Order: sequence, then structure tokens, then C-alpha cells
Amino acid sequence: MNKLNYLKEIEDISDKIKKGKIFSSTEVVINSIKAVEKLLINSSSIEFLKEIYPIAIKKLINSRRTSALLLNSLRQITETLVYSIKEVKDLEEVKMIISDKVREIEKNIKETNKIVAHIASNRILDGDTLLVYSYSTVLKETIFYALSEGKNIKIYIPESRPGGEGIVFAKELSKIADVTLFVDSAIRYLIKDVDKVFTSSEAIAANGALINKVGTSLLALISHEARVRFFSLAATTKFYPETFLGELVELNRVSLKIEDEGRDLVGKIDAYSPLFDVTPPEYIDAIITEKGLIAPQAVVMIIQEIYGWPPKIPSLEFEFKKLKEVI
Amino acid sequence: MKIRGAGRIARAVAQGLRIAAYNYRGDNAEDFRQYINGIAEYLRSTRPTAVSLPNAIIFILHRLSMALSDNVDELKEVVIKSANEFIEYSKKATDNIGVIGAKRIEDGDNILTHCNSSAALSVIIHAFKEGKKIKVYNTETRPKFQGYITARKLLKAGIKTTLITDSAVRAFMKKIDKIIVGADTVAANGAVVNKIGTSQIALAAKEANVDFYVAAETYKFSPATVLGEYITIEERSPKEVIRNIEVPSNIIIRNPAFDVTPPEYIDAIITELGIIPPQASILVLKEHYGWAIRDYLLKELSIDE
Repeated sequence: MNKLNYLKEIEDISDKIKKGKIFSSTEVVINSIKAVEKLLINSSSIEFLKEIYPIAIKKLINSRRTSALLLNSLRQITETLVYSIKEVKDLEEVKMIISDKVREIEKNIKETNKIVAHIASNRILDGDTLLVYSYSTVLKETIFYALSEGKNIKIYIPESRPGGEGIVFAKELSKIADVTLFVDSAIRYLIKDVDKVFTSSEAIAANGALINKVGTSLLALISHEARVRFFSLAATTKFYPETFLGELVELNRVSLKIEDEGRDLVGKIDAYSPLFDVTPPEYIDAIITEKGLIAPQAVVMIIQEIYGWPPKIPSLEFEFKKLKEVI
Repeated sequence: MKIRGAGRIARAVAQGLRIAAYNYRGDNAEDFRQYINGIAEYLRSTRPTAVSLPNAIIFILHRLSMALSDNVDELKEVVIKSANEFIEYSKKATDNIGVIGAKRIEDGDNILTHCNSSAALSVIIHAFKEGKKIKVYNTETRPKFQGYITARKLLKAGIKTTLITDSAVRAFMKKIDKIIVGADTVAANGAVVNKIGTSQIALAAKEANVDFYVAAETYKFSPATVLGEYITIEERSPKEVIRNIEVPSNIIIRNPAFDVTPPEYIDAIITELGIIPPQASILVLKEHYGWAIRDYLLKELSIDE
């Protein structure tokens, strides 16, 4: 197999992520780390990894610059790879260590999400109408827990253009809950019926700003105006330590599909949308993490707890350099 | 919903009354008055939200009730003449709004518009024709994608436009200098009823300190709201929202067609008479519909003259 074939799968997944085809941010990460695992398992020699591994990792990270969880997970795998090559040298053994690491990361993500969902479901009261935005596995779990505790709740979901994640989420939730679907433009009109708003998160910046599917910041503004509580669910692995050093998070942009009624406009006008937007911390009532519920302004405290003070953030470039050295 | 846009609806109604008058065969003046009133009632029931419709009717019926003649031909002539007068006036009004509103647009402005409004487009196109370099962002306007119609009209006028999703309005707000939308109805307190999504755009504009203008002909101001009438928001077919996607039948689909933008989020309303703060809507109503408000009072509250 040549190099191009090895990268084919990584490229396919990167492309899907870039275009927003994989809805849940957790799924993005799990798909990515599994692809990296596969790349390593198919490698015929350690030398071979020297060049191809950094290319693959950079491709995945660039497909979703906003995902702190993706960056954090790929960093962990890279650290493990460097360490294992240095310590064991035998390729088969390295492969085993990496597979274990991938399993461990996956398990951790799922377990932390469970804790987040449990804490979030405590915030839900019997009789609440909740507005949820976009598609999220951790939100689905939250709703599931609230329902199994016997709470009578109603779910409101906007369709969430351009991806239409809300429609897919509405379909899934309709199997367990009472669901109402509407267009994104109707949020302010319907917010009067809503008791609490819950969103998931793509990433949380050091100042407590939330990066999430486009439309979230408008929803947060509307909730703020209507004095409806706005909660964002984010395991601390979604905290973006790099933003503490002032790095700006790059937002993916997708071109809009023009429906049949506007067929004549295709190619004649610009039609695009960012995939994400940024919600300022003052519109967020709380961020719900596996360590508990915190104010967005307290995010920096958690970053300090994880990465020290001032935060020591290992750069991936540095890890790649080390990788070349050990090989 | 074959005829879209409050202006076009009003003109269609005036035309309807004109045709009805023209086709009337009979010679009793009282019968003719009843016949026209009956047609008016029927036309009124076709679209509950658009106030331009009852205003067009009031405009014509008021003139008919003022005509003291008992000659059917003369009364027919009154209806036909006032219908023509209304149609002429409303066409000119949209153009005048363009002339007045264009003064508010500066060279180099990025303008955002929502849905498809003849009055708002009139402002944008006038400004462009005056040689101002402008760039337009326009929303798709779910569920019915009226943004495509707007994009098409702008394209025809030679104006560069970018189509964005309704959800991205806040994300784009930093690029926007001014917002111009149309109106379905302007209430007595200056609140504006317009296509669903308008009020959240106004909110996002307020947050970012971006000017928010409503372009509205005076026949969109609602005399009935002076008397406290509540504007009912139509909810339309779920099909518009889900289109051809199959969804489980237990999902409830809400499809409100309009929302209400509070006056404090509106910088000004551009009318054919001039630019007014929304709170001054009552002035327009008193001056234009003083008699209509009186008619309403008499009718609604059953007060004998």
C-alpha cells in the first residue's frame, strides 16, 4: 500500500467533519481517533510513521479547528505514541498500547458524558419545557435521565439550518419524549413557552465563551432577553486551553445548498454560512461539566486545575519533533 | 397565498371591488351598497393578518358611504374611481419610500434584509441607482425561502448579494451597517408585525448597535389596534417546515408566519410621507385614518350616531 492509500480514510473522515456531515462533536472525535488507530495498525514499520503520522493528525485537526476535545484527544494519542516508541521499540507492542489508549479515551469520553448528563438532568424540573439546540448525544442522555426519573417534560427543537441537525434530533427524541419542531426564525416567538434552554458545546474558550453550532449565540441572546435560563453542557475536555494564550478559534464555513425554488440562483450569488458561532459568557447562566456546574467566568479556574498556572500546554508540533527524534 | 406582499394584496382587493362594481347588474342603490359590502366582507376574510387588505376596503367603502346618490351608475363610478385612486396611490407610495429611504443609505454600506419586501427593496435599489456602492446580505427566510425572490430581484438590479441562513444573523451582524425590512402591519404603539424571524433580527441589531429600519406604506398602519385590537398571528401548514422529509406523526410542528418587533428595537419607520420614529405611528393613524377609527368605534362598540 502506498502513502496515499493510507491517508485515504483520514481524508474521507476529515472531509465529512469539515462539511458538518457528522453531527455530534463526540462522534467527530470517536471517528477520528479510530481512524488514527487504524492508520497505526496498518503501518508496516515505525519509520513509515515518521512522515505520515503528523500529516494525518494535522489533517484531522484542521478539519475542525474549533474542537477542543479533538485536539486534546489527538494530543493524548501522540504523547502515548512518542512514549511507547521510546520505551518499547517493538511495533506490534506499540500498536497494542495505542489501541488501549484509544479504548481508554473513548471510555473516558462516554463516562464523563454520563456524569455531565446526570448533573444536567438534576436541573430539570417536573413540568419543564426545554428548548434544545442542534444534535447532541449528551443532551439526549440528559433528557433520557430526566424522563426515567419520572419528570414530565416537553422538548422544543429548532431545525438548526444549514445542517438540519434539529430535525434529525427531533426524530430521535420523539421516540422517548414529547417533541415540538419549528424553524430557527420562530425561536423568539416561541421562547415564552420555554422554561430552560440546553445546548451542547463544540468548545469552551478560556473566558467562558461558548463555541457551538451556528444559531446558538442568537438563541442565547433571545433567552437572555426573555430571562430564560441558558445552560451549556461541556465536559472539561472541551475546554480550549490554547485560547488562554490568546489563540483565536477558526470557525468552519460551509456553502449553502440552494433548494429547487432557487435553482436559477446557483452560481450567481454567494450563499454560505459559518458552521459555528461564539456565545459571549454573559449570556450563559452555567456550564455543566463532569466536575459540576460552574459559571462561565470560572472556566479559567478549571484550566488552572488541569494545566497548572500559568497553564503549560504541550504543543503538538513539539510532540511531532519528539516523535521524529525517537524514530 | 398566490398573491404575496401586503401592497400587492391591497391592490388585488381594490381591483376585486372594482371588478365587482363593474359587473353589477341591477338598479337599486341600496342593493348595490349591500352587494359591495358583502364582497368586501368576503375579501376581508381571505387573509387575517395583512392590514393593508382591510385598509384598502375601508378606503373604498368610506368613499362609497359618503356618496349620497341613489343612482347605481354613479355609485359604481365612486367604487371604480376610489379603487383606481387607491391602486395609484399605493404604487407611488412604494416608490416614494425608496426615494426617502435611500437618503439613509451611505456609500459602502452593507445592508441586511429579511424575507421579500417591495418597500425595503425600493430603498435599496434607489440607493444603488444613486450610485452608492452597497452590498446586500439577505436571509433565506425559512420556511418558504422568500429570500430567493429577494436575491433574484437584487441580482436583476445588478446588486451584489449574499444569501445567509436565518440562524447566522447574529454571527454576521458585525459585517452589517444597516438593516431594512418591510412590514405586514404597523400597530398603534409602533410595534411591527412582519415575517417570522424579524423580531430576533431586530434584537440582534439592537445588541450590536446596528440601525434597524422598517419600510412601510401608510396603508399598513392598523387603525383597529388603536382600539386595542390584538393582532392574531397565523400558524400555517407543518408541510412548509418539513417539506418532503418524513417525520414521525407524534412530532408537533409549529409554523407561526409572523412575529411582533417591539418599537424600542426599531430606529425608524420609513413611510411615503416621511421617516417617523415608531412611537409616532399614532400620528399617521390619526391623520390618515381618523375617520376610519371613528367608523370602527361606531361599528365595534355599536354606538349610535
